[in-house]
Amino acid sequence: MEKPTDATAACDATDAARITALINRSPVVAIEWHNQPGWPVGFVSDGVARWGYSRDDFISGRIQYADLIHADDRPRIELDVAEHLANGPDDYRQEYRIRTASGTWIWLDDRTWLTRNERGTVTEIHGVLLDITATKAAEAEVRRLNATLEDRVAERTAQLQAANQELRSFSYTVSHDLKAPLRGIEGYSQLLLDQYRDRLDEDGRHFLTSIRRGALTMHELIEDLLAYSRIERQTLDIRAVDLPAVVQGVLDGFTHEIRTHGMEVVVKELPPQIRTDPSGLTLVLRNLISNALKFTRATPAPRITIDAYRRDRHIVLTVADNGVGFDMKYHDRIFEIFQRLHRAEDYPGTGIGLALVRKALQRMGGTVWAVSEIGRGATFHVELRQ
Amino acid sequence: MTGEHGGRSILLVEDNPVDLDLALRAFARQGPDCRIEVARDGEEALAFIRRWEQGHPLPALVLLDIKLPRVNGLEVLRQLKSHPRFGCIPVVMLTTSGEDADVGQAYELGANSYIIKPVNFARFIEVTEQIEQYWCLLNALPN
Repeated sequence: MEKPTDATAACDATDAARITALINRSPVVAIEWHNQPGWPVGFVSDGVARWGYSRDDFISGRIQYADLIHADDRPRIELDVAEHLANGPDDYRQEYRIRTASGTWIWLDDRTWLTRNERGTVTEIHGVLLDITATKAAEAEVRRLNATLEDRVAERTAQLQAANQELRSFSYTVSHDLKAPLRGIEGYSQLLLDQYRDRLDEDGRHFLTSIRRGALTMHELIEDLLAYSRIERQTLDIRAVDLPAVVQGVLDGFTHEIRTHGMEVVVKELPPQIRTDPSGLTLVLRNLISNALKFTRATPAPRITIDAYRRDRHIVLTVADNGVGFDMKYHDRIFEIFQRLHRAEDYPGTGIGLALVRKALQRMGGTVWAVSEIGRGATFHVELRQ
Repeated sequence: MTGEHGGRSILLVEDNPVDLDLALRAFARQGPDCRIEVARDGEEALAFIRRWEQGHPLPALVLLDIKLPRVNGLEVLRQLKSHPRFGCIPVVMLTTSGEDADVGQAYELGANSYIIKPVNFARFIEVTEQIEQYWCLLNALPN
């Protein structure tokens, strides 16, 4: 073997010093164990000082590496190492905790490889150890957050279910407990009017009639409220619907009003089939047509036009009238429950119709909006996803 | 009194005093075809009908509210309709609830008819008249 030149030796020495410096500055601890019980350490890099130990603590044999491993991890690690020593693979990775000199525990990511002699027996075990305590803590935190997130989702779901149940019993209460006193007011005022009519003067009869009118309005409000809450509970049944037939069916229900009103009804060419919930669609159309009838009451030649157009993957139905219309600054308010733009004397009603329309469409995955100008009619657009 | 009613009675099961008073007044306008008996909750209703075991006549009709204290109307209905003797007594639900679930369950349990209490009193009088004519005169069970 040729003796290395001074230059080569100097170069090697410089490289070795460089590598040592680099390893010592890196976050890893490089280590070599002898394949003997307790895994005595033959070499360890300066980085071990970060755990509070000196290199000599290990080299001298004062500390056996295996003794630093957490009792909960040690059996697993020993079994794992024994398996690799016996059957390979000779390159593997483990995670476990060791105790630092100050008594705290840190997590290590240990990348290990084995050196075997010609008989296949492992002589040295080499490792590069990286402190992953912070990563482990972050992982644990993520797991903890996930668990609490699941808890919170479960909690919220339970709250929502409770709220839903409450809403359901609310509508039951409305139907039962609010109507009962109303029957009393209605019944006794009727009896009073029947049996004591001749003992009441005109004022008395007027008061009584007013009471009865109030009870009637209250009854309408309760029924509307019930209809509104019922939408929430109805199951959706999205399927292919014969649109012209549904429109005609709804119009047929208004035959009498349309005739007495002298209303001209124009139905443009509609798509023969759309996908939607038929009872929801019927409710929407019925309320929009009823609305159109109501607000064309004072129009000389009342007309209602039903049309449809496509917009991307939606069908938009339009119901247009030539009635009183409304100021566009109220375009959203008209869809709120019990909101009215007109005095009850002029246009009777509880202000539920358009709220029902919007609610039903929300459930059906559709939207509704209106375009209008005072005195120039209103056009309602109903958009249904196809 | 038995002669006047032909021994027939309607058992009205109603807990609300206002509804009860109005119902009695409405039936009072129908003439003396039937005597009205009153039970104020489900338990009282069942006890009244079980008096048959001591020789009392069965009512010709039970008018049954759903929301009742102690034993509710649907439970009374279930017990009556699953009884070998009481099962043939016509039961007409007379209730505020128009909920699909209540209507469906009532018919499933064997209710003979389901009437939603009208808020309008004049309409209620018409209803009582129809009930009495249909169930106590036209379709009365033989004594």
